[in-house]
Amino acid sequence: MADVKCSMCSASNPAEAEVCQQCGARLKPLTAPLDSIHPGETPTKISTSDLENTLPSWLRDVRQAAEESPAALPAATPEFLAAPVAPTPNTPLDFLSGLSAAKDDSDEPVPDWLAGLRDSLPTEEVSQSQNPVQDLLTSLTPPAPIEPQPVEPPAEEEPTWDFHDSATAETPDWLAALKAQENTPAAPKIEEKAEMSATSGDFPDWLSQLSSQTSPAATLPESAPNTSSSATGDLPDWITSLRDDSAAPVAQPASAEATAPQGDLPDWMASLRDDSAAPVAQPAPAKVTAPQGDLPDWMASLRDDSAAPVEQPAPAEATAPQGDLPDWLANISPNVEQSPSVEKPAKAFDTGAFAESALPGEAEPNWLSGITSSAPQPAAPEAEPASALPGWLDAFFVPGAEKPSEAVNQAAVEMPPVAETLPAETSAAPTGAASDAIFSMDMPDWLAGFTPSDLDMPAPKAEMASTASTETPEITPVNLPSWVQAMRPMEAVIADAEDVENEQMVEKSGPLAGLRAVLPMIVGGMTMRKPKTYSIKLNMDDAQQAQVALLEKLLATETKAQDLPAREKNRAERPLRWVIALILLLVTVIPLLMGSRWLDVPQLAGADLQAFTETLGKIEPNAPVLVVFDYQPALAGELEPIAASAVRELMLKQARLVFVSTTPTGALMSERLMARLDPQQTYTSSAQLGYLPGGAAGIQVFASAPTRIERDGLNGAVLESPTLAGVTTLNDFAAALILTDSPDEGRLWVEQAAPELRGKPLLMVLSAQAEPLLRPYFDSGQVQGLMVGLNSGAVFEQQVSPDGPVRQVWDAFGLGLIAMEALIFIGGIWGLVSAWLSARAAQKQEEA
Amino acid sequence: MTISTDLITGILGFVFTLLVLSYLVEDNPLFRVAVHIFVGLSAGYVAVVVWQQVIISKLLVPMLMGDWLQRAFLLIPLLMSILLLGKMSPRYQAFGRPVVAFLVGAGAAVAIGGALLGTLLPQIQASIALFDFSATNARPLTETLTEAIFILLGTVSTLAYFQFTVRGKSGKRNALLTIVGQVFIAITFGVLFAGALTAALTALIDRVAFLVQFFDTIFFSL
Amino acid sequence: MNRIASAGFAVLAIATGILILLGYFINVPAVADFRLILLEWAVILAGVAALVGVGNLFSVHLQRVRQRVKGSTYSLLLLVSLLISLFLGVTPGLEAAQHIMLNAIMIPIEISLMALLAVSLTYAGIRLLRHRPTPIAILFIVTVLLVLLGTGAWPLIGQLSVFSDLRAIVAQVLAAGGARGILIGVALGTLTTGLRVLLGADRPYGGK
Repeated sequence: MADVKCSMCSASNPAEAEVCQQCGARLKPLTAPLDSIHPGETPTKISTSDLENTLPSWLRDVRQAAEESPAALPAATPEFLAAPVAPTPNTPLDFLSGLSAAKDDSDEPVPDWLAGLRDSLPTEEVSQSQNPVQDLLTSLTPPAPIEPQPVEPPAEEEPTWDFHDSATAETPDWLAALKAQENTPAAPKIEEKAEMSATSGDFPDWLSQLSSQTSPAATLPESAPNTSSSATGDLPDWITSLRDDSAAPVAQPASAEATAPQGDLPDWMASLRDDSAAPVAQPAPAKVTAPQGDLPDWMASLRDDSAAPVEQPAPAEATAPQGDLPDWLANISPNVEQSPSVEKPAKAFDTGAFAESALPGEAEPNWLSGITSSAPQPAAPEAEPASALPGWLDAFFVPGAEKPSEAVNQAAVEMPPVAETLPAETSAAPTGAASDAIFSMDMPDWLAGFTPSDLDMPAPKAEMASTASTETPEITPVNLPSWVQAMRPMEAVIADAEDVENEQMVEKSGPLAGLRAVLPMIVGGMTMRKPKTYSIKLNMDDAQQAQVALLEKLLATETKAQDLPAREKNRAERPLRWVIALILLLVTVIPLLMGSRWLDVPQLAGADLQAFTETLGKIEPNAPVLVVFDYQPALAGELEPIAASAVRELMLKQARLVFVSTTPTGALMSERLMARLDPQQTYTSSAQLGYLPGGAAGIQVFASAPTRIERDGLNGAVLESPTLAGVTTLNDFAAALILTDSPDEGRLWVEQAAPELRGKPLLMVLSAQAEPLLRPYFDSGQVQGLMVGLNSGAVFEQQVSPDGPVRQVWDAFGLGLIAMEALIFIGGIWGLVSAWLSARAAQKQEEA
Repeated sequence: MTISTDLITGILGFVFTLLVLSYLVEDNPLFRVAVHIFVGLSAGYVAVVVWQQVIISKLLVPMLMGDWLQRAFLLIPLLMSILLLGKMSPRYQAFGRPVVAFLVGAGAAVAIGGALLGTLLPQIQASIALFDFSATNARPLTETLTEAIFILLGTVSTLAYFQFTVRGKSGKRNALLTIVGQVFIAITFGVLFAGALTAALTALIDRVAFLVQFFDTIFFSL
Repeated sequence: MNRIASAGFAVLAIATGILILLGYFINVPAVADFRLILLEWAVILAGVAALVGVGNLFSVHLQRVRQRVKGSTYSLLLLVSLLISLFLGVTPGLEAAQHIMLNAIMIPIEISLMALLAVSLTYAGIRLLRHRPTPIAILFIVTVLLVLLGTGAWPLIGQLSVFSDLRAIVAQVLAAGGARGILIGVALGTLTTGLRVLLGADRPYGGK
């Protein structure tokens, strides 16, 4: 099978693997892949039956019953579900509705204590715990609201917790039953209870009995929002009965012997009623004895504890089996007896504490708020300890607290019988252990979720807001069942959170400082602080820095011109130069001053000179001859004497001399030569074509069309002169005489002009330094004659005009050459010897 | 007393000659003065010659006095000359690039033609012709043949050595060719050096002769 | 834009060179005439290039005078001499002064500078074997001596034929062979360089 690629780490895993073997991420999603959402598409209908598994069991039962027999729906459907529940702001939370639907609720099994109570309820319990239970239930009765409720329920459905109104489905049946018991005789209450039992078999009989025994005198505050008649039918009987019982001692404390269906009350409740009656001025509650045998231990202990601090000895008589009392009851404060005069409406619970429930900020349900207001406000010192108790129990044991309302007073009055029966220890602050013990037993979820700490005002809120409460929580917070959580108002969930969030979301910096409800910064996300600056400098250690410096130095030396090594300064250099100069000057000055003729002029001419002489002699008279002056003034001393002889010969032939030069000083040189040869300037068969720029290109142009470049120039008159008569191409010249000291210039003329001469002689008068590189042209036949240096000039001059300018310098020239030869020879010998001696010395040193 | 131009010329020549020859003793400021004056004068003279004999004679006068065809043909060099003058300024030297390109192309072509037709082929032909003994020659055959062999050997060895084909390479054949090439090159350069010595000597003789003549004219003829 | 310009310049150089080169091998009057026109333009532009060189010399020394660097006095002297030479050359009626300038100053200085070489080259010949006592150096010096001995004449004995013949052999045979090899090598190098320019491989006028 193909491997599966992990979406987290892209690792390949076997197809059957569910978790990535490398990173541990889940390969196969827990849920089925959802279809991609395409904008614009109509939502697909999903069968709600697929969601049935997520519904609570009681709801499933209802649906099932509805499907099977729609007619049986009202019977199968709990009363609270029979009518659509219209949520109202002050509608009490039907947090007890789950009780009616818990028929087959496997998730929320009936606690044992409740089941046990249900079995043993009928008479004894009720009779025994009539008074305290009645007081307890009375306290549970939601008191009249202090403030008018904004939402007015229907006339028959007052926005109060009316136990007896079973028409509405807002209130649980047991609560409705309780209410009904208030308004109706016991029997009807019992009947209601029976009804309730029929409709919701979840309500124990004792609760129903309790509700039926509620005395009519126990007037519930009609205006109490929590006393909604609609909720009457939802109240369990025991609560109703508790309320009735608790209401009785208000007017008639002796009515602790109220007709509260003691038999319906669980023992612990009954004992509570008896005990609660004890702290009241009338010691009647002392007679109330809770069916101790049936009380859970935590309740029994609670009763014992609560009865202890009571002044009345009744608590001693009414000592319920401590083990049976829940801790929260055992630790109920006896102070509740201190407020007997305060009329307290019967209430089932002290919703004041519930108002400050485990969820801070949660809005207090109306029915709970009524209970809270009617419950005796515990004194501050006692209130704290009593915070561990449920609120509905605090009303029993906080006598000294102010009662802002009659409901509160009523609850306080109603509480004493219960309080009296409770052990005195209950007056003490229920410790955390006790409170834990109270709620460590199997408590219903709806009751277990409320902790005594929740019943206080700000303090519990603060406690609940913090993860670690400063004082040990008396009631361990437990998770609410899902159906309770679903019905929990969002304000209760969000309120505290909002408070906390509001406190956290006050922007303190940046442009949004001071504003609330600002989106919090994502940890690790954008921050308002200045971005961290990173240094662009590299962190290098000393070794790296040294290497960098070395590299920079190397690179710098590459571009920097290196200084030449200092030449070893020769001390003899300057004197030697002086000697050489002196010798040369002497050997040249003396013959010149003396006009000597000591040296013979050579007579033999070389082949090149012979050819030159022969060629020059073959030039016909009055023939145009091109004379090129391409030598520098520096070598005028060498070339002028030898060129003068050749030019003189041409002049003697009356040759038409055409002067041209490729150097700017060529014309000057030609003038010097002509001035030397013809100082009087009588020779007129000459023409000066001037400077020919461009080097080889100029020679090529001149060689191709000698008169073209001078056609319309300033030398136009020259072209008209008879000197250039008949000359249009280079071939029209009889010969070309190149006077040059540079081998390059001579080469250019040979390369460019020789082909254009087409057989006409090309003669060259060269400096001695240009001879080696131009002789091959003579050897190749491109140059027809060469006259090289003073040697050849002397020989040629000797033939044409003896004692010419060359002869005048010949002795100086010869002696100078001899001097040079001698100096070079002696210097060479000396150099060789010196080198040999140095090498020998070095060799000896090496050998040494 | 009128001072002739020859006297002035002589005096100035004498002075500047001494200024330059003072370098034989030691490098001194007088020598530098003389050299810088020489450079300035030479540059100026060149500029004058070019202006007169090239710009005016070959460009401006034909533009002004020539026919329309000649003028049309000279417009391009006139424009190119103006662009070439931009080479004197770093800012506008880019304008002279096309002119330089034209000159480079023309010069390259002329150089190729001259080298090929004026040197390469004739010299190769001459090297071959050395062994042509059919030409009438009074010299003995052995002498001619020896010369031919040496010339050919010198030609080949020098060419091989200068073309960096044998230098630095190993092998007996390469080593022999290298040595032979070095010999001929040394001889050639020796001859060149001797010629330079000769030319320089003659220049020295010319100056000395001038000085003597001046002295004679000043002190003995006047 | 630079690429287009460089390509254009290369095309100009190549086209000019090819047209001129064709004239060496094709004897067609039209080609010959067009070739001459191009060469005339090259001659004129070469003269202008000489002017550009003089202008550059002027600007360089002028900048040295402005910056008053070391030796700026000599630069000032150079500039003055240049201006004087220009003035004398372009001003009609001052030909005599120009003549004096050339014959009295420029030519004597140039010849004197060449005369200094006689001493310097002699000194170099004397010191050669001291610094490089190699066979080739010895051969070089021997050649120099032979040529010098065969050039000049000896007192009282005249020119020795031995030395003359030796000089002839050395200069006209041995050196000729070497010189021919050098000439052929130079020609080959010129041919290669010219072909590279005509093929666009080398662009001395700038561009890639």
